[in-house]
Amino acid sequence: MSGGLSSIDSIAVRRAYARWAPMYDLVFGSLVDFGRRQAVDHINARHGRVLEVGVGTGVSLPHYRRDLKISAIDLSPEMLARARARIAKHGLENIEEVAEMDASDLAFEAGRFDVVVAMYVLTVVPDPGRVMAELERVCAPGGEVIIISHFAQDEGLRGWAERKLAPLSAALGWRPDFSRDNVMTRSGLRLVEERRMKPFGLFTMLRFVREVEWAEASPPGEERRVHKRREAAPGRGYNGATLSDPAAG
Amino acid sequence: MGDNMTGKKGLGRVDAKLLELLVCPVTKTRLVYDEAAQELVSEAARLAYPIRDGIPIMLPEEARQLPD
Repeated sequence: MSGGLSSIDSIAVRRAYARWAPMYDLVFGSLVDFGRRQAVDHINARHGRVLEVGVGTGVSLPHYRRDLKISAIDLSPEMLARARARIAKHGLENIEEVAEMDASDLAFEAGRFDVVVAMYVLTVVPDPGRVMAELERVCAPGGEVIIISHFAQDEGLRGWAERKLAPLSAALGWRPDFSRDNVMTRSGLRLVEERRMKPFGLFTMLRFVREVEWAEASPPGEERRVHKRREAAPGRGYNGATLSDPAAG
Repeated sequence: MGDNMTGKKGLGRVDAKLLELLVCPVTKTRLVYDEAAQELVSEAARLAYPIRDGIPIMLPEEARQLPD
């Protein structure tokens, strides 16, 4: 289970982030902050337990509403040390846990979180499909899985900005050719919003709702019927799809 | 709340209740918190995950293999 190709890749990613930890905020901070802030603003309208996968140096942590209970994980101990320093500095009592984990093998029970957010993570992991499966697993039915990622696009301003960023992408193991199909792999996750983020629309936020399912027992041989409830439990406040204009960047 | 890792007990102490909510990343089964050893023990995977400076390291490649 452990060992093999994926853990070799994990080690390479961890090494890259160890090298970049001291200057990450300086180099990448302004570029990715827009996206983080927009995602956190959205999460702040929700309730309950939040898991931030790939918390990095923890730039988003001070911005969560203080009654949300946050669990924060990352694969890089150097990044987590910085996140911890930030938590102490701001006295963030709502950050309940910080742990070192691999996003493709989460150490949480199924359905533990009301919101699961992974920002700038999916393009650096060896197996995005497996990470999506884990994000789905730890999200409670009716809860949300939120992804911010770069997805490949050739034309126009984004194409230009992408080429400009290629050296940075290489430094952190981002895949410039990463396709949206890599994250659209879970039937239990229904896409409810797709929003291009500033600057240049380089990054996209995808928001999924974890389907509420029941009727597990169906007779063998018969097509499995899964009833999907359009409205989530009271208090979760989900009102249906809100697809924003993807051209607005 | 209080005694989580950011709270009064300071760095290096982890809330035992929260630790018990973690599962083994390999088998997804329950863990036993060994406070003295600062380890989370997965009997199912025969692995002990270390807790360093209050941060659980939930990676099989970092875990100690339990003797048979």
